[in-house]
Amino acid sequence: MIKVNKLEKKYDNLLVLDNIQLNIKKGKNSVIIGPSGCGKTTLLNIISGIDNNYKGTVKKEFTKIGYVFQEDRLLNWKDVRRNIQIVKKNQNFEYMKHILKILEIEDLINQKVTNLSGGQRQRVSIARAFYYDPEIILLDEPFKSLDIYLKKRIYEDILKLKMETGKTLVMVTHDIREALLLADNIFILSNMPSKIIKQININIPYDKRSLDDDKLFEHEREIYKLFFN
Amino acid sequence: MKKSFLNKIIGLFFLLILWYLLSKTFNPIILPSPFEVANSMINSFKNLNIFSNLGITVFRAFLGLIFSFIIGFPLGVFMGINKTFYETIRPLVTFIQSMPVISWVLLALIWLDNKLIPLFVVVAAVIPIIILNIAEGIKRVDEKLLQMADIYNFSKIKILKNIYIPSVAGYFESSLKIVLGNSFKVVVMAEVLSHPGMGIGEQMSWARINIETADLLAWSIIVVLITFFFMELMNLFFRSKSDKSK
Repeated sequence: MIKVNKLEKKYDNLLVLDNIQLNIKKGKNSVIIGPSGCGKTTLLNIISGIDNNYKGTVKKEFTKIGYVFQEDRLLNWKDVRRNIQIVKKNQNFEYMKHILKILEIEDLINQKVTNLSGGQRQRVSIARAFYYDPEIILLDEPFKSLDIYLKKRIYEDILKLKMETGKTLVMVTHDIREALLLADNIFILSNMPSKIIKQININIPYDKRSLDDDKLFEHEREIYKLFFN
Repeated sequence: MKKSFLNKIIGLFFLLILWYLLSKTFNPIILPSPFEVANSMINSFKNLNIFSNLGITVFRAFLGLIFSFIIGFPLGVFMGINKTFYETIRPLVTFIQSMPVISWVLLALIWLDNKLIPLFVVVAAVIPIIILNIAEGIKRVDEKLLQMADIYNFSKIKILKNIYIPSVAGYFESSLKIVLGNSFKVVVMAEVLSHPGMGIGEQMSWARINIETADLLAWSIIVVLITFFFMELMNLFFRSKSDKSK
């Protein structure tokens, strides 16, 4: 779905991304994990087309892309329904309600988004991305500011949506456990200038994953070692 | 709320006492007493002409405001969006803004028919404030929302309607507040100098020529009251609007 080859990105003279090779497969959850400030958001911006100033090739086999940003980027002067419907020309309210139900915010549909909590707003932003019905959805640390209980619930909701729609998801995070619970393929970025130092594939169904699982624990240790050695 | 209202009444009362005491020490031609001014106000309200004078001044101010917004709003939006246009137009706008209002009045006396002068002067005084305020608002539109709009393929019209215009609403409100107060003062000044036949300024000018100081003060107070009335009306409007959106 996306093939990144020999990607190099500089800010002035500062090399941020160095020779990145990435193969994102259709229908899979790819999670790019790396320390804070290593250029993860930059990589997503290049994939999404927001940033076109780079060297190397990014081959994209999709026409529509959704993006769940780090900040929700909702229109504060509109209610939940209008924030979501704005991304589409032909509306399907039944489908919108269905998405909102999975994300547990169907009761908020007529609320102004300024009345919502941070977690609720981020769910609206996720709903907007799925309602747009793109082939691929990028997620840039969307759970960064949420507490652990809320995170866990949203993971489950996202996986439900993912399994139902079969969308390709690409997420960046610095949270190892988040990656282990959500990813089919994990790409591990080094510190700046960032390279992909390892790819880990996880073949356990999402709903069977638990952090006490030996295999996941092993992966967790492996990633820790890569980060700290 | 009640207490602050009471404080205002007390303040006003002291002002009137001070005025009264001062008027005792001066000739009424220099400073008439508050009673004389009140009397002159009551007398002018007995004459139905006051309403046409008042009405025409308010009409001119509002017509000037409407014109200014019709021209200034799109110009400001376009200046905010397009940097080259902003840089090209900015010197002209700054020039219009820095020009003394009295210069506009004097030029208009040469250029225009007397009836058009107040309208022209209001537009000249008010339009740069509107243009610059709106342009500033547009320039400060959240870059991140524009990125979001780009990702979700918003059309240009959709971006304008759903991101630019709502972001600029606050700047619109504040520019309206500034220009509303100004426009009455400016229109009256233009009327004083241009003698358009009717209007508060016209009456003030006659009061000055006949050395009717009480009338002059009465008309001035009427202008203050009109300005106060419309400012309060506008505040009420915006407050009820923001309450509704909560």
